[in-house]
Amino acid sequence: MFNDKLRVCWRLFRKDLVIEARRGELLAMIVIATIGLSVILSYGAWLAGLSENQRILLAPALSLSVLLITALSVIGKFSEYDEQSGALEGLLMADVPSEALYLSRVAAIWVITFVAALVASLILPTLLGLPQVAALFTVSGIACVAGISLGLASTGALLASVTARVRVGGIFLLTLVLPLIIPLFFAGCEVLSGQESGHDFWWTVIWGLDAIYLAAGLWLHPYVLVNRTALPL
Amino acid sequence: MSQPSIPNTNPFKSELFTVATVLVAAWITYAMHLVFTVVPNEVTMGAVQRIFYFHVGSAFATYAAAFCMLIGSLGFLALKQNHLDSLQLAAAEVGLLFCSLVLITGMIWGQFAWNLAFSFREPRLVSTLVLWLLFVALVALRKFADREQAPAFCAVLGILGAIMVPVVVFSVKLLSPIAQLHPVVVEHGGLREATFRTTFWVANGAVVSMGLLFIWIRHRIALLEIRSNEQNI
Repeated sequence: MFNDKLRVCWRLFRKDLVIEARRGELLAMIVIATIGLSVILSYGAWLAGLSENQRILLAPALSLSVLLITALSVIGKFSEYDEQSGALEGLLMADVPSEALYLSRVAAIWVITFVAALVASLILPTLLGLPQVAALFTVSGIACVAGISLGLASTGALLASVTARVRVGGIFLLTLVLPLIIPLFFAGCEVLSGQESGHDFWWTVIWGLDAIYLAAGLWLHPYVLVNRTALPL
Repeated sequence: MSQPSIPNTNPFKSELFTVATVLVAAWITYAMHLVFTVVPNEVTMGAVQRIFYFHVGSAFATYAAAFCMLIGSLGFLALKQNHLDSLQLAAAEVGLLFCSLVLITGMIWGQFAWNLAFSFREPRLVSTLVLWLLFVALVALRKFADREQAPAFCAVLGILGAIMVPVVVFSVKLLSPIAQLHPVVVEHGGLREATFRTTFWVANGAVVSMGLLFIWIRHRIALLEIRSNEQNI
């Protein structure tokens, strides 16, 4: 039973990635938005005349901000496609388990957000004129970004199903997800800034919140689909 | 959605409601009397210290509202009854009101005590801001979602928001005291004088009971709104 659900989840995840690879719209959107935001934010840092040390301290917060904004704009679009094309309707009619539906969506969003994170960590330090371009490519940096992306994907996948059917649509996702993600953002900034004190505490915050969000998403996802399943077939 | 039988009488015309309103009004008046005429000025902070009596009470009222929000959200998802959705709505709106009060009074206090209205190095201020954003998101979702879908969506976000409350409250306790500006008065054996202590507890009780009364009133208004919608008034 559990294996069946995992198999369905894997197939759905592959379907999402294959469709995205063929279409390429979301990936293009996320890369362009990441570059654009990085240019604007790093220009602000140059304009303020910050020293190299200050720019080094600023880099983690800026790259995580770019990640959050671009990822949230893309997650909203991801769900809108499924809503508009009727794919979600089809999956629900085919009796696909909602856990598999949710987990596959989380996995797909996680992969796409991770791409944004990689682009941001390459471009931002370069634009900020920092010598440590590879600073974010340490094991701890990658684990931290992966943790934040997972939290973002867990809450985003759940709440994107909500905003896909709300009047203001995808833009509204920022309003709903940001309050839940801000603690992760702070924890990520603390870890990436490389301060040794309280490191363990911030790691606990990141992975603890990820676990809470993933569990809550698995539990609550069927409820946001409840009105769909009640449709007359 | 199953419709509960909403009593066809004016919910404000009940003896219990009248008694509760009179009691809370008397309690608030007594608390105001203690705060503004009985308690002397504090030595260091002067008259500004009086804000503390409402600031802490508002924080307790916010947590009480978050608890009611959790009950309403869980209850609605389990039982699909309108009065539980109304409880969630009422608790979110009242929670937003009291959380705003906590932030505003905290900023006034901070300006006088630390010469800073807001600091990202004070975890309690930041966690309260996160909580405030959560309440804003809930109230906004209620406004933007379709009337049919809003209850389920708000219940899902309400649960996520309520889960965050203990996280933001207790994570502060795990941080090093050096990283915190916020005074810990009661736990550290402050308020040694009986007058200060009595006023503190009376004012806290008054503000919390006022918060609960507000939730009751808003809950009843929401039920009247549902009834008027059903009857197309």
